[in-house]
Amino acid sequence: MGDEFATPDRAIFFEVNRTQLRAWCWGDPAAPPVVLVHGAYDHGRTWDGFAPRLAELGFHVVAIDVRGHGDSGRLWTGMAWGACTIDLCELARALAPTSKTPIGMIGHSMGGGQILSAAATTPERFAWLVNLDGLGPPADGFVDDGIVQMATRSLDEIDKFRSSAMRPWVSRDQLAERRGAINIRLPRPFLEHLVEFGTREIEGGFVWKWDPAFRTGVPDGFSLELILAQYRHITASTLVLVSSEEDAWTEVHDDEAERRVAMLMDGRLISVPDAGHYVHVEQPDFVLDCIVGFLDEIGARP
Amino acid sequence: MTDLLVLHDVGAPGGGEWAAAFSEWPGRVLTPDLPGHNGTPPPVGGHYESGDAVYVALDLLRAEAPVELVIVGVGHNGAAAQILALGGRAAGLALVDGLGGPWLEAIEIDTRRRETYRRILATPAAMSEPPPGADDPRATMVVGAANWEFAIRQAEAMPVPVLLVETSSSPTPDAGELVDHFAHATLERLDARDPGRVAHIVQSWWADR
Repeated sequence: MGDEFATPDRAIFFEVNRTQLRAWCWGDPAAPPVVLVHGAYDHGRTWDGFAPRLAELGFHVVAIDVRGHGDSGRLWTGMAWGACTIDLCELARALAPTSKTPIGMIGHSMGGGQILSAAATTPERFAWLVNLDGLGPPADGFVDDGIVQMATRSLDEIDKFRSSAMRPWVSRDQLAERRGAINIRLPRPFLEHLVEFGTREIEGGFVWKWDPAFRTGVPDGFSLELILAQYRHITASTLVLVSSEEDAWTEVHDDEAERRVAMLMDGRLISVPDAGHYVHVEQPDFVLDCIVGFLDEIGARP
Repeated sequence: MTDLLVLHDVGAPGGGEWAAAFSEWPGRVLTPDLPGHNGTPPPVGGHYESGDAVYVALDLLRAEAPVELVIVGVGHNGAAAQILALGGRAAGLALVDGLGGPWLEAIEIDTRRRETYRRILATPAAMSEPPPGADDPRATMVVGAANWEFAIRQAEAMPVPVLLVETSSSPTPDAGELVDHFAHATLERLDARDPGRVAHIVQSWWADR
């Protein structure tokens, strides 16, 4: 279980795509870069247990706070998927040792979806990808209760968010408790670490650093077909690691994961035993072994 | 008294031309310059999405609190106007070339989306902050509504009377087919998107309703 954390070697900002991305870095800046992209409502310091082990493999590890999360730039709406995709494409260009050198990316959950979108947009900038339980919602996750209900709910949420401040929580302990009640498989030390670097103090208590705008958006016809349509453009070798246990926010696994990974040009799928959605937190040794094996297979280990 | 909200098209001069066109409207006329247009700053974070006009409209509606509202959605922002009407914020909806289209398969929509992202990445002025007060070239780099099934779903669920004004600028290939999916829709055709003529049609439609 991943409950040991290291302080990053460096904390920097990247100016990309009209925003500022906070980046937590480990290892030699001259080494081959790998970008780590966290999931929704998380932040770059959630990799503090895993990133140093990747750096030991010889990588320059850059764990970002995604736009609207952590210390990175703020949002206007939650409809920022495309902007985040462009952020990653531009970050890959900025980090590449030469303009012709594609890089690696590892993404968890929403971050896993983001790296697939980025690699579909600019395939020439990505050599390899590791997707950690981030293939997107299962097919039945796209079933809705009607467009009037969706639109009404979306508009009410936007009104609420725009007209009221974020409610502070009394203590960081309380935030860890609440998050632990959602992600019930996460170990307490990880929850405390998540809260320590993912919250800020305001008058009256503590609030998450993620932008409350992130939770808002409007129906726009997004569909599973659109997720899958991009896969045929991804030329990067891709390893997909999925959870084996039911968990909050678990994305697709089993047969549905196999069907989706089969659509990738060069994809392989591994189910992580005894792991929920945070596969790299619950089974870091297994996940690291899988990544090392994958990098050896494609000749990308430094 | 019915108020009016106009959401202008992306890349348009702003809301001013619609304010002038609707000068005879009997209620209040709200014609915001949307982010990135006519000196209005870009949205926070500098990118543009199909829902931006919804957020602007909701801010305005909270401030102005209209009792009854007709929303006019022009071009790309027909999508935002439809969501506002579906979500109970309008008593009537007018779409001026605002139905969406051309209709594409998922693979084609994805291709258009990726091409748009690549165009943004390749355009220095779209990747850096625009000078204050200047029109933002990135404001026009948006992917329009192109999902036929979604358009049908919206039409069939639309709870308010709808006026469809289709002009030679419309991206919609088959408005005549789509109109039958609305419970209460009127289709008017114009040879050009002239704000004055559009305003006259909208005003007559609402008065005769």
